[in-house]
Amino acid sequence: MSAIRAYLKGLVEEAKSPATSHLPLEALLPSPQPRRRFENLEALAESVREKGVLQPLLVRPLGDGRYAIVAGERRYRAAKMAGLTEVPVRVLDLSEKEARLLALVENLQREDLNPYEETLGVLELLSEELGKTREEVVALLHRMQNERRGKATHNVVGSPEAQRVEGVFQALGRMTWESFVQHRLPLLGLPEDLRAALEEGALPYTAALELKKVKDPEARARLLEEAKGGLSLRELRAKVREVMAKEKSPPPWHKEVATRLARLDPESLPPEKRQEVERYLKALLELLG
Amino acid sequence: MRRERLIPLLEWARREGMSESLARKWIREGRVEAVRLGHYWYIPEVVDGPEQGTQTYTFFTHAGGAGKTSLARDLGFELASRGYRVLLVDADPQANLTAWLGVDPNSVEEEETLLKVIRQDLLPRPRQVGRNLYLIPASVNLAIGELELDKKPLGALALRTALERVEGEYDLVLVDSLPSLGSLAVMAALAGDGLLVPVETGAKGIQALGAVIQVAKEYREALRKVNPEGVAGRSHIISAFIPTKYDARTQGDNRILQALGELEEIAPVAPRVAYRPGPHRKATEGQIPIQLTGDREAAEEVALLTDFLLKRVFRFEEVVA
Repeated sequence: MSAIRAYLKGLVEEAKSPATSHLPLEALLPSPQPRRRFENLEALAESVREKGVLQPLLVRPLGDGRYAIVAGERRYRAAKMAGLTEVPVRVLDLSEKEARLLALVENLQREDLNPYEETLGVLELLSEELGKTREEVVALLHRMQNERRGKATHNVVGSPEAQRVEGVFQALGRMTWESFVQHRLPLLGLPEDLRAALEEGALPYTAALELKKVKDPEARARLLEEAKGGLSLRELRAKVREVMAKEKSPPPWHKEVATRLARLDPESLPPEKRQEVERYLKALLELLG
Repeated sequence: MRRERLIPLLEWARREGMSESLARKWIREGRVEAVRLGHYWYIPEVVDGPEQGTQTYTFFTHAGGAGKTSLARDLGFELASRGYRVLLVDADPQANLTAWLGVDPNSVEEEETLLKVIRQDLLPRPRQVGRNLYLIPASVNLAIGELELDKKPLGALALRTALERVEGEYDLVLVDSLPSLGSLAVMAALAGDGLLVPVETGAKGIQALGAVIQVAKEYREALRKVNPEGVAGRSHIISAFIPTKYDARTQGDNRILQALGELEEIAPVAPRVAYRPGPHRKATEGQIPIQLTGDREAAEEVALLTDFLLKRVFRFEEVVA
C-alpha cells in the first residue's frame, strides 16, 4: 500500500472516531455484565429527560463503527426510554478482557448494586483476574482465611495468587478480603427466600446472615416478615437466639455446672459465699477423686 | 413556485426540433427571447418548481489556492442556470469571489458585507449578479470582522442565525470561506448543513486534510447543541470532498486521485476538477464562470460536478419543465 493511501486510511479512522464525546444510541451495543435487575429505570429516564445523561458512558470501539458499552447500560436504557438520540461517551481503547474487568470494577464501585449482586460481581472479577472458576476462587479464599487464623499451614498466604486477590480488593477499595470471606461469601449459601428478599433490597445482608441460622422454614418465614418490617439487627438477633434455643434441646445440667465452674474466680466472691463454695467443691473433688 | 431557468441554445433547439442555425436566426430576428452569457446563448424558461427549504453549504479548507472561490462561482452559476435560486456569500476579505462576479470590491459598502451580520445580526440585502444568482459581497474591511467576532458572544453562530431569517428565499446558499481557521472561517463553517472540501490533487492538498477533518469534528460538536438532528449519527460535518487542480499528465496526480477514493468512507468524493490555467485566466479576466469561456471540457466538468452534488449531497427535488 502506498504511503498516501495509508495516510488517508488513517484519516478515515480519525474521522470516523467521534471527537469528544457523543454517540448515537444505535451505535452502542450492551454487553454482558454483573447487574441482573434494572430497577427504577423510569425514575432515571425521567431525570435523563430533564437534564440529559450527565455522566458519560464508557465504551470501546468494535472496529465496525459500533461501540460496546463497557459501563453505563442503565443510563443507556434510560436514555432510550427518554427518547434521546445520542449520549455522552468516553471511548476507551480496551481489549475484551480489560473491558470486562473495567465493567466489573465500575459496577462494583457504584452504590446501587445489592449485596448479593456485589458478592457475585467480586467473585466474577476475581475469577476473571485469576483465570479460575468461581468455585476455585471460593476455595482459595477459604484456604487463605484458614491459614490466616492458624488453622492450616501457610501455603497460600503470601503467594502470588493471594497477592493478586489482595490487589483486587485494594483496587475496589470497598472491603478487605478477610471481611469479604467472613461476611459476604456466606450470602452464596442463602436459602431461596432470603436471597429473594436480599435481591429485592428488602433486607440488609447482615439480617439475611442472621436469619440464615434459623433452619425451621416456618419460623424463618415469620422472622423474615418481621425483619422486613424494620426490626433492628439487635432485636432480630435476640429473636433468632430465642428461636434457636427452642430448636436446640437444652444442654444437660451437669455441663452447665462445668461451664460455670470454668468461669469461676473464687477470689472475687464475698467471704461467706466463697467459704461455702470451696466446701462443696472439696466435697465434690473427694467424691470424684 | 415559479422559477426561471436557462436552457443552453443547442439543447433548446434540439428540443424544439430545429437546427442551431435556425435558432440563432430566430434570436437575431427577435422571435425568441434569449440571453448571451460569456460565450453562449441561453433561452430563459419559466418552470414550476417544488417548494423546498433552503440548504446551506460552505466551501471550506484552510489551504489557499485549493479552488474554493472558483467552485463557488462556477457551481453557483450552474445551479442558478438550472433554475435554483442561489445566494453566494463571500466570507473572504480578499473579495475574490466578489471581483470575479463583476462587482468592484472598492464599491462595496461595509453594511453590504458580513460586517452587518457581525454587528447587527442582520443579513445584508444581496446584490443580484445574474439570473437566480445573488451575492453578499466582501471587501477588504471584512478583515476587521475577525476581531469583532472574537468579542461577540456566540459570534460563531451569527451567520447561521442570520440565514435562518431568510429561510425559504433561496434554494441554496453557498458560502465561500477564507483560507484560515480563524473566527471568520468558523462562522462560515457553522453557517449551514455541511462543508464542501476542495482538495488540491497533490501533496499540499493531502497534507491539509488532517486539520480539516479535525476541525470538522470540533464543528460537529459545536453544532450538536444548536442542531442535534442535523448532526446525529455523524462524527464530522464534511458533506463532500472535491478533488481540484487535477493534472492528468502527471503520474503523481493520478495516483493521488485514486487514493482519494479512500475518503469516500468519510463523505462522498466528487468527480475531479482539472487544472486549466488558460480558461481560468479567461474567466477571471472576463468576470464570468469558467463554463462560459468556451472551453467545452471545463463546462462539461462543472455540469458533471453539479449533477453529482445534486444527487449525492443536496438532494433537491428536481426543478422540472
